[in-house]
Amino acid sequence: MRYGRKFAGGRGFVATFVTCALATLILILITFSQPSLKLRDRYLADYSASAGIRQMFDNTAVQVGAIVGVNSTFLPQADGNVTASFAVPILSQNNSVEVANYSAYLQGAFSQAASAVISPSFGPIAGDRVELMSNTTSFFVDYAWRSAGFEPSPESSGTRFSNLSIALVISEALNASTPWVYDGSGDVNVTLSLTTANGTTVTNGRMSSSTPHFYLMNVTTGAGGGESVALYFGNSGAKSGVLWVNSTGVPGTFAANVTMPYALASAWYYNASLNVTKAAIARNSKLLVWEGG
Amino acid sequence: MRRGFIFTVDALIAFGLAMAVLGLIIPFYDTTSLPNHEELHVQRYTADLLAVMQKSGQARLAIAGDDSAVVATLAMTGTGKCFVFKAVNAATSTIIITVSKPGCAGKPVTVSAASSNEYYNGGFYRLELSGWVQ
Repeated sequence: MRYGRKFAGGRGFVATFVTCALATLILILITFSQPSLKLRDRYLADYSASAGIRQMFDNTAVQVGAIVGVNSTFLPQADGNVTASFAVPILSQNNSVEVANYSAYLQGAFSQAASAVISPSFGPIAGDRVELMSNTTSFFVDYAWRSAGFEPSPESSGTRFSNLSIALVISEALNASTPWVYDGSGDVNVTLSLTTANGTTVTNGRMSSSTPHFYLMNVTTGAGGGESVALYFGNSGAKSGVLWVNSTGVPGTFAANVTMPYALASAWYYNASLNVTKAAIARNSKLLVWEGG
Repeated sequence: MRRGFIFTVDALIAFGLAMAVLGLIIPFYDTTSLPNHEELHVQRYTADLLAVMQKSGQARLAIAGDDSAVVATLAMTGTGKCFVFKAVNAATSTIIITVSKPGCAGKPVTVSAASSNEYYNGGFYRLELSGWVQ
């Protein structure tokens, strides 16, 4: 009987011990599982904040494009090339004041609204020139010289276009023009669509990117009367594939589609940068307009 | 009465005490405030929806006074999801337009909010989209 009680008490002790051990184990498991749950939630929250900052960069690049008046689209081709399209007025208005105002707005009121610290560096595009750059080629609008076009990047010797399609629209009539002459052979296939009050003419041919080609158009009446538009493709010193359109006072639009190797044009960005810090996420980079996958 | 075979009364009491301790500790354990998955989902959805409205030009139309595209986009969001779109003139802090999804009365205290900006016709506008699950 005494032995039986002793035995029963021992069994109770074992069961109690096992139960307490199990409860402790559950407590430990729950305790240690909390940090990993928090890490996962932290990762998701950070990812969400990071995506928000990427959208802020994308939108800023779009708004800068709207302010400076540059429309651009990019289309990768199946043959390993990229076709980039740009369109601007040929007498672009210098909106450097708006660019500076946008910079101040982002840094001030919008930083507060977005609960972030935003520091734009728009100096390089808040003057007489705006550049949209790839690693070899820049599309530029120069307000002081009333010109727009393409030129090789400082570290590049040429723009490397294989196809160049230009659409120039002038609402007035031309009284005289000196067309450029196609080479018959050359490294660039050039198409020019010229629309004036006289109608539209389209010409096509091959041109060498390392020899000069001029097209001069004179306007005598209407807006820009007595002024001219000049179009140039060729070399600039040792650099090849330079294209520009210059208007001395004739309004109109200039659009260009250029095809170039993907490796030389896989990313296009404004010559301006943005520094954003929001909570634990920080990013400082150029204003990217397009990046191939 | 037969003695305990697996669980004795004291074991049950010990287990109960352990669970009580557990119940007391857990509520005080997580003091940091991270959004839960549903809140994160609404946050992302709200931010994406605002990006869609901007990239498609709907936000510009709304600033110009035509809110039909924004109304249509908000109507296409799922049942139970609520949104309020606002465009604010950055220079004057004046609300230019407010568009609420129909059937979403009673905006809660805690909402997910996305903000962006738009340059239109020489002026800057702050765009705000608040989202919550009803």
